[in-house]
Amino acid sequence: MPSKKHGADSIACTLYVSGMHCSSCELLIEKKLIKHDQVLAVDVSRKDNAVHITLAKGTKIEPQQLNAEFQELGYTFGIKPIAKPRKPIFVKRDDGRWQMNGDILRRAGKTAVIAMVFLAAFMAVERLQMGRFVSVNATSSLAAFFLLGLVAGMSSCAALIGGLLLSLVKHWHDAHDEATGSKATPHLLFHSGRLAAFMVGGGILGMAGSRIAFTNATVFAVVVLAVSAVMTLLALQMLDIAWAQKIRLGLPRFVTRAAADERRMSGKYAPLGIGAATFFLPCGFTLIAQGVALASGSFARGSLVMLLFALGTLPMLAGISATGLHYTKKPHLTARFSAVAGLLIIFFALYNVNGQMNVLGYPSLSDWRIFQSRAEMENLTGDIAAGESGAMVNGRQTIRLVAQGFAYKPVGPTVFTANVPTYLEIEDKGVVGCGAYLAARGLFDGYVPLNPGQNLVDVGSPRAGNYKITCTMGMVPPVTVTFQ
Amino acid sequence: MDIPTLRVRGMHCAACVALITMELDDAGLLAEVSSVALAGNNEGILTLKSDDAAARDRVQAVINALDGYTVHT
Repeated sequence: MPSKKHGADSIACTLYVSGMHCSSCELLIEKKLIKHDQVLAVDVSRKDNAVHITLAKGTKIEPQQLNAEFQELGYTFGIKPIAKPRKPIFVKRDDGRWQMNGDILRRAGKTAVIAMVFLAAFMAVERLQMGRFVSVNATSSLAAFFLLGLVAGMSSCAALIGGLLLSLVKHWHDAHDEATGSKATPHLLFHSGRLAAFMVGGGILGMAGSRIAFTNATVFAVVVLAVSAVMTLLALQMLDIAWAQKIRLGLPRFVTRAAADERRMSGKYAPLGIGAATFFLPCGFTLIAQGVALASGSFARGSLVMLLFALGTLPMLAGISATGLHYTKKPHLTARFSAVAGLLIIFFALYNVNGQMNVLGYPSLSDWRIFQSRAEMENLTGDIAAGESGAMVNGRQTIRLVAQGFAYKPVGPTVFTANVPTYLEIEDKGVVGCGAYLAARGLFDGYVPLNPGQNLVDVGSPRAGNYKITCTMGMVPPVTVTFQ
Repeated sequence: MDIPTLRVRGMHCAACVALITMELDDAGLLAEVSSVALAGNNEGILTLKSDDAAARDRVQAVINALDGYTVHT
């Protein structure tokens, strides 16, 4: 946004312009307008078709004057917002026949293809039981968060933080001579402060999460659903969806402004503090990692999540440190990356939502047998004799499951009598990942950690209804038992 | 005699042509350029009036300083 130095004697006005179609149009209009003597600052937004102008007090600028100046370039200025034209669904051809609008047809086709790819990917993830690699608990792989950091490092997050880092380095070197430290000193201080802050901050979030009754599966599911909603919103912004762009996520401006204040950049250890303060910058990917740290419910897990995320961002940030360049200066690469990353994030968000539908006991895609691994469902065996499950013994009935790999298999019937004392008996024959933590909303609160061999849970006298037995993340294909 | 030209990556529309023309004019270098035009495939061509290396370097520097545009050889 170009601007000239000005004091408080200025007035702001907004005009609307049609004819813009790219970022070059924004830049062109800004650069031409700033040349006017009475214009102190200009900010053009193609998304709103708006031109925000700061004028010297007592001056004005007329749309008609601008229209004459910009006529050859094809821009038209006015004082009213420009309504986006609605695309007709059907258009009339030259031969008089009606056909569906080509743009809408192409968009519908792309959406259908994306939806089919998503369903195919979901089927692959379920059948390959890849959920075992992305759950957040003591036994799962945390590599997913390092990957998230790598992705964040190639996004606008790196542009935000990289720009701050480059500015910081310049100010630091201006204030300190070579005797103070090598050229690498501010970089090392910045990245050290960032890693330490993310580790400690993540731990604090995890501890806070445990206070939010982590043992309550419903509360945990709500937290994960909220994180998934944020992920989806950010992904839609990356896909340039208009209504999503209007919703801004982040901390209050006074916090983010303080973190980026150039006046704080000259102290000897300033890079350490500023690196730490990046924990509070409104980067969408950081918010996702922070949400997961909160949901982890443990200081140690929250620390590891945020530390691995920060380490994932390190290669790109270190690259920006070293070269001062960023690939986001190439607009077409940025757009393509944003679209791919956005679709991936939506997929993972929907996968999380599906998992939490299982945890909450609601219908989900996992109920469709097409998504379940038939080999896993058919080959599991246990020491429990089939046919005994469901039978009343001494006034009690028993649900019997075998947990092996990343699946639970019922042994015997899955229909029981309601309001009768019931046990849940699970034989753990080598379950992995979050499958080691059983959840069954409505049958028992929280989760049950499985031990190798026999595990027995008293689920009381369940009322009539369907209950899903899955893992704490809802990623193990659920076993549905019915009480009637 | 070969006409000296510069190929610029990132030029995709008339606004890009206008923007580069304006920047060269502001830098006092428009007199060194006989035309700025789109060449398709996200590229543009600047035709220089002479093969003066110093003028070419100054024009190149102005364009490379613009966000989103790069002179490539």
